[in-house]
Amino acid sequence: MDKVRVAIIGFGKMGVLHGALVNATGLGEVVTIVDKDEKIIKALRRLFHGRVGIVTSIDELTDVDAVFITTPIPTHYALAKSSLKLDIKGLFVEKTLTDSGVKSKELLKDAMSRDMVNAVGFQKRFIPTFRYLRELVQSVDVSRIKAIKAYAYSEDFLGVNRSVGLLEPRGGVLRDLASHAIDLLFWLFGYTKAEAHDVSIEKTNDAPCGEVTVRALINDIDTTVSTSWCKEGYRVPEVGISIITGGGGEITANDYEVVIKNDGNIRKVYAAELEEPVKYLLGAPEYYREVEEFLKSVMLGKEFGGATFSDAVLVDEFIDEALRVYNARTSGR
Amino acid sequence: MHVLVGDNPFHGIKHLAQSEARFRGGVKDLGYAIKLVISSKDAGADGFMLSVSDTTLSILSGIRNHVDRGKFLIAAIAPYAYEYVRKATVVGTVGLVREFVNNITRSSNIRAVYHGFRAAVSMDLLNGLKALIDYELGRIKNAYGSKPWTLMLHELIVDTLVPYGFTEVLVEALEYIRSRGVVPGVETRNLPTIYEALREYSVMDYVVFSAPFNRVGFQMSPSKEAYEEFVRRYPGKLIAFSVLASGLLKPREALDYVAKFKNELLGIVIGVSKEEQVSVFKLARELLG
Repeated sequence: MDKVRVAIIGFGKMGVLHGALVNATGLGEVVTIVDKDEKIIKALRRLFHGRVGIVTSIDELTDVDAVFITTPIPTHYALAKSSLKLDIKGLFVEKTLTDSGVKSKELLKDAMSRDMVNAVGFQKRFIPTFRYLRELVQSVDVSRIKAIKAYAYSEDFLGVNRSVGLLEPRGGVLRDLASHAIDLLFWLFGYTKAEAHDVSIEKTNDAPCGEVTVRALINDIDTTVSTSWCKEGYRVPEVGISIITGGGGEITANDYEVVIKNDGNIRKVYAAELEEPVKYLLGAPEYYREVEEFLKSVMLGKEFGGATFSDAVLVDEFIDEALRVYNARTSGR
Repeated sequence: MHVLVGDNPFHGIKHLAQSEARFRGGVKDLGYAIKLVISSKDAGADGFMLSVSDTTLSILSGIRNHVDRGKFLIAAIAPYAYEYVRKATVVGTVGLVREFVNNITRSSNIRAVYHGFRAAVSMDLLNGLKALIDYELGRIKNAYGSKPWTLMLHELIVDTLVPYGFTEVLVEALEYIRSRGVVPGVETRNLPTIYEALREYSVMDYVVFSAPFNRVGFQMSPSKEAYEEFVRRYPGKLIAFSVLASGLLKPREALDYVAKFKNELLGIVIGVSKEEQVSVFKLARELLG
């Protein structure tokens, strides 16, 4: 295969980004776009002049090697289910895989029955600070870890005058945003078990959405995951993980830097010092790395080096449990 | 060599680590931001590079009577992508377009309304870009009292259009900026790739570029070497930003590197968030002329 022939399903913000990166890598080419919105379809047909196929349904897809699903989370399951029936070599689904662990597990089963590369867009794994943290974690005696604090914040909905709850829009803040932190936690520490035991929501900044805090035991370590779409100062969605060890030690990594505190000393390493430039920078370097890795995997028929369906099932199941805990608590049971 | 004040601190942006921008709080006081731009001019800056937003338009209004508008250059980047991306997140792409058309209609900018109307009826990207250009030029003129020196299309437009093969749309938009009596510009994080796509077009004789350029290769895709080669081959084309690598480099070491290209670069941009930092413009003048 010279180039991976790609279909993008859903040509909103994320679809445009991923399609541009597919073309920019030189490893793939967007050949078809699927979208349901009539206005978008009309604009795209006019714009592409037949260079790219513009269709309204997956059923119309032919002669593509890989599919990117970049629609809102609640639509992922049906679209992925249909895509898994196509004669393709790779399926990439934006995070999270679906809006429930059961559905994600079903997709995993379907994917396993096919000889196909599967991937989920947890692109934070491709940020060098988190890769650096992962190396550090592997050298840390896990029994010394007292607690883990994680956050996933954005200011996307700050000041937006509408209700933004746990479940809407975009699949809810836990799936849309906190899922990045949860995936990183499982990836950093290796998943053995995770139990959510408390979920709370606090109002912040007078915005209609609150800060959601999930308290859990992950691999028997006390873990807190805090998330909000309304956190002022987070112009770009950001994830951070702090590992607190005995004796006042702490290692914190976020999208931009790693800060290591030990015996009163503080060392800081920036992402900018750790990363090599990517061939094409659009959005953030991790998007390019993820798309490139996926296309290489499809070309070579090897397993994707980022998050797979199998990883995403764990994230979706954990979020299901957190929602169950929250619902039980608020309904007084 | 132009030395321009950058607007990132006024938007609370620090690409190296957003946590530091949060800690320092950026420059939220408009009066202080205006004072910083004027102090920077007094220290040697001869222009202001900005993304067109309500904040920077207010700063332009604040400085217009304190600078010689014929000499103090305004390099404007449009659109202010952060605002648009955030809106797209909240209201979706179609909702964003609807809101954009509403803004243009409310602006009473006849040219912008005309192109906006054509874009809305025919769902045509080029007319949408022309509407954006007219809308933003109108807002700058209202705030500053004169047109900017250059209007640059933001990287989100440039770096997205080119991989999809829409180079001609980009070229026509740049031609349109030129037809409005303003130097057309391209802001990009992929300078060599974008230049390669545009090089065959005659508008390239007029286009200026703005891209990261620094000693450590921060955000220089695909490589620092490719940028250096570009600067040597096409002198007078690039306004360098992120010269301090967003604070990773000290001013002296950053400017020593830039000084090696002082005869090739068209200009540099430096953002400052405190009065005591404006001395960097004096140093830049000493080293770059």
